[in-house]
Amino acid sequence: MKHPLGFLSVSGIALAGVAFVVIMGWTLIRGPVLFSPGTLNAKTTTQSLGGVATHAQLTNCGACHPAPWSSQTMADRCLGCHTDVATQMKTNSGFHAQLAGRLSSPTCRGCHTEHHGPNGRLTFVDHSKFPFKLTGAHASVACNLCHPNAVSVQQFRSAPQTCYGCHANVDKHHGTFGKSCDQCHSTSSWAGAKFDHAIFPLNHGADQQTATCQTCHPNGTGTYTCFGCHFHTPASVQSQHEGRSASQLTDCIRCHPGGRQGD
Amino acid sequence: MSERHRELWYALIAIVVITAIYAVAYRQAGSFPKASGLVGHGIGILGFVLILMTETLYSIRKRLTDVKWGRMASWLRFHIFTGLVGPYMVLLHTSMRFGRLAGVAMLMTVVVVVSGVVGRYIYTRVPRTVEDTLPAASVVVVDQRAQRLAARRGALATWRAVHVPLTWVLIITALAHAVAALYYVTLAR
Repeated sequence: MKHPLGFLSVSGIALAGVAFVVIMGWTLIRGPVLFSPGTLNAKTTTQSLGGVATHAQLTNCGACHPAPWSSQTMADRCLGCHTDVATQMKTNSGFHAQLAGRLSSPTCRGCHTEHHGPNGRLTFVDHSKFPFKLTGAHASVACNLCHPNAVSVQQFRSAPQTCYGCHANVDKHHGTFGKSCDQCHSTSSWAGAKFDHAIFPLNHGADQQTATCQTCHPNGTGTYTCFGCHFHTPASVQSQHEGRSASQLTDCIRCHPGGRQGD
Repeated sequence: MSERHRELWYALIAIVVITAIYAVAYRQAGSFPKASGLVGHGIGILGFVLILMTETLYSIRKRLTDVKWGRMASWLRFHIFTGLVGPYMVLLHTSMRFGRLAGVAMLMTVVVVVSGVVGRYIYTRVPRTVEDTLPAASVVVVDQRAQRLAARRGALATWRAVHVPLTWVLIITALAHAVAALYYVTLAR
């Protein structure tokens, strides 16, 4: 050829052939591990399943990966070893059968994936489909932290969905700031809390006397009172607000958000 | 914008746009988008197509001497554009995991891009003819220029003899990776 294409050089095609032979040779001698995206999980089980105690002991890719044209699916290969789940599916009982009944196209690998290393996670659930979204630090905690020993859909759904439901025992404020942690904290970290006292001026009366949290919140920050300062006594307030009920007169901020008479 | 390096600016703009799309996917996923997902897979396939275009189109146009489809300089610019943007898309496709054959394919991509940059440098240093330089003052000067020209053309030929085979290794490795991914993941049921 007078003007052979540059990319069709003899040396180019020869090296392409060498690369092909190396890849095929390696695959024939060592198996298709060359194509593996990562090592398998090494977590061991108490009982041997399918002749191995851990996925990491599997050396034959075909143990989990049937050929695309095979009549078997990957799920068939999973259930071939995980007979406890297979029994659940057959008898239509247990967590996996419940879950399969709720999904349009249930497959094992919809939630369970491999090749994330010896200590990698085996279960990946798209939690964004559930009412409780996993944001911040919640996204990286182990499932059983919120769902301990859960083996049914009902038990999974019974996980607490409020801050205090899980974090009551680590409340450094001992309940004095209420149970709505998210008013000051984000899910990213306990540190870096933003205390926003926007409802009522924090410096109210600070030019005349020193106010502490207890001045207005003697029974914890979940409630407040204006009585006890200046001339704010139940009797004086009552005399200034003829015709108002006693319950209305304890919620001063409702009518005086700025803390002043004219507000 | 410099006329001389216009293709580099276009490549930079494309890379910024692709990065922005990828950043949205990263934000939604909370991590690097999976290589087998819509964004990860799409970006990998498109990147590989661009790499294939990089290897073939400029070479084909150079040989089509009878057909004047665009200027050679424009095709070289497109070659450089796809040769930068394609590998960048393939890099994003990796989800920053560089294991085994897929890792080798990514390594070869980097090697070929670096080789291409070196080739571009040599190419710009090679005048087409002795007369491309300043008017000759004497026979001795012309002779010196001819020697330099021959040396640079020799360097370009040597570079081409290395660059093209490296590209072939990249293509074969990437194709093997794609076939394995089809077999084990995409077509798996």
